[in-house]
Parts: sequence; C-alpha cells; structure tokens
Amino acid sequence: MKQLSKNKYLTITLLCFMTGFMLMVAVHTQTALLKSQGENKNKAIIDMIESLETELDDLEQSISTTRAEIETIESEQVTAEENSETMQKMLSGLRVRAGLTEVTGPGIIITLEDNETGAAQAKAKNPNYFVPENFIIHDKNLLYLVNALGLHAEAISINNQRIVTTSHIRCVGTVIMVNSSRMAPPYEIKAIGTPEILEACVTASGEYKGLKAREMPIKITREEEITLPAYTGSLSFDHTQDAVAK
Amino acid sequence: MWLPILGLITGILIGSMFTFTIPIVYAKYLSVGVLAALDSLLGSVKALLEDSFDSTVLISGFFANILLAAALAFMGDRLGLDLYMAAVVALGIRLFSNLGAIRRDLMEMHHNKKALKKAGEVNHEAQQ
Repeated sequence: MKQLSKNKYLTITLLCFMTGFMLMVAVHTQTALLKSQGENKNKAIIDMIESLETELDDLEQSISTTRAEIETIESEQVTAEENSETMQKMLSGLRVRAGLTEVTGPGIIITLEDNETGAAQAKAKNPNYFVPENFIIHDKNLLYLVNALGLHAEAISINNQRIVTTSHIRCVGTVIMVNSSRMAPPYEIKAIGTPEILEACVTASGEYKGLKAREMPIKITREEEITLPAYTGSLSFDHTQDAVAK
Repeated sequence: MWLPILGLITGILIGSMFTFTIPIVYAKYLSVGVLAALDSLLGSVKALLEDSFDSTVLISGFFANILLAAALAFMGDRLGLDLYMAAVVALGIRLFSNLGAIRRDLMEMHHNKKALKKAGEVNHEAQQ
C-alpha cells in the first residue's frame, strides 16, 4: 500500500514537472513571438526613416548643384551686352513704377457725379435756402478718396490723368484740376490693386460715408482688368540730387 | 503530499533557466497542450482526494489530452477554423469544475476530521 502511494505521487510529480516545463517553453515561445513582431514593426519604420534620409541627402545634393549652376550662369552673364540688357529691363521696370507707361491690372473704378436730381428737388422745394455747392463734387472729395486708396493701390488715375509723385488735385474756380488739366463730371477714379482690399479701403473712409450721407451718386465697381493711362506731364528734377551717389 | 507542487516548481524553474523555444508555428499547439496537461493534473488531484486514483488513467489521460488538444488546434488551422477555441473552452470548463470538486473534497475532509476529533474527545470524556 505504501509502495503504491509513493508511486502515485511520483507519477503526479513527474507529470507536474513536465507541465511546468512545457508551460515555461510556451511562455518563452510566445514572448519571442511578440518580440519578433515588435521588431518587424520597428524594422519597417527604421527602413522608412533610412530611405527618407537618403532621399533628403539626394535633395540637398541637388540643391547645392543647382546653386553652383546658378553661380556659373550668373558669372557667365557679366558680359557687356547682357549687362545693358539687364539695365534696360531694370529701367523699364522703373518706368512702370514711376507711372510713365500705360499700365493694366485688376482693381476698382469709383464713379462720382454731381447730385443733380437732389439739387433740382432742393431748389424746387426751398429756393431761398438752396446751396448749390452742397450738390456738386469738390476737389477735396477726390483728394480724400485718393488718399483713402493710398497704401493699397499700386497705380491711381482720375479720368485720363495718372496720379504720380508730383501730382496735385486742386480747385480752380468752378472746375477741378488734376495734374493741371481740367476735369469734368463724371469723375472716374481707377486704382490697380486687390479689388476687395481697395473697395474696403474706400468704403471704410470717412469721405465715402460723407458722400453717401449726402446722397451723392457714387459707385464702386470691381474689375478684372482696368487700364490706366501713362503720366504725360513732366517730371523735372532740377535741384534734387542723389545723396547716396554724391 | 508536497512532492507534486515541488515538481511543478522545479519544472517551471528549469524551463525558465533554459530559454528553450519551439518553432513559432507550433506555439499555439503547445499552449493548448499545456492547458490540457493542467486539466489532467487537476483531475488527478481530484481523483486522489476521492480515492479513485489510477496511475494508468492519469498517464494515458495526460498524454491523450495533450495530443488531442494539439491535434484539434492543428486541424483547426488546416481547416481555417479557430478549432483550438473548442479545446480551450472545454478544458477551461473542466479546469474549473475539477477545482470546484477539489475544494469541496478538501472542505469535506476538514469537516470530517473536525467531527472525528470531536467524537474522539467525547468518547474520551465518556470513558473517563
């Protein structure tokens, strides 16, 4: 009986041992499996990074070669002929900026007119208190509108007169003069620039609000393309000298 | 009595010492096999407590269960079915039922012992 009992426990012990061993082998295998999966994932990412790095190197290389090419081209360009061509280009660019050429681009057109219907009504209604000056466009109206456009317009003209550095808008008797030439209504202010911004500039200005309040016929239209005339007057610089060159 | 537990611990220790792995393809079969082995062991403990232990039954059951569980998992892989789940569920249920039986047996034994002791004391007193 004792012998049998010992045998029993021995068998169980042996099987327990085997089970324990198998258990640990299974655990080890699963751990290895998980680890290898993780490594595979990491490896894919590392490969991706490495390929991107080589790509980056290639691109940097191509940048430096392109820069070298540009330098050689530039150094080759310094021949007399091409030099004068560049000067010509620069000159024509400056002429455009100075307003000496006809220019075109997107922008807005502001159209102003004397308030004739309002004047007629006021006159019929109350002739004694009728002030005709209140119903016409003055030089200051144009001046302030041009000022409102100021920062954001690249080029401005009133009717056929281009506004340049020496331009002036003034009142002479009963007419408005721009660049010393007489204007007659309707007045058409054209400005090149981003149409939305220009329109916002004008509508936000006090002058525009004032004109609207007086029911003057003022109209703003956005245009895809408008053409402004060249400045035809003289730009004489008799006294001014370049301080830097001097 | 403590020998089987010692055996289990020794097995775990030795298994841990040798970081021995089997091919990954067979990992699942081994895992299912371990579950079957545990079930057989618990069954044997239960049999011990209920005095119906038989070494032949244990050894044959141990290996047959392991092989069947592994074979089921293998067949499932071949058929594209998660057939090893059947083995896992069946063995899991048996594990719990065996454990429950062992617990009840142990409690009963404890109870009987207590009762016997009490009876002995009563007898002793009566004799005195």
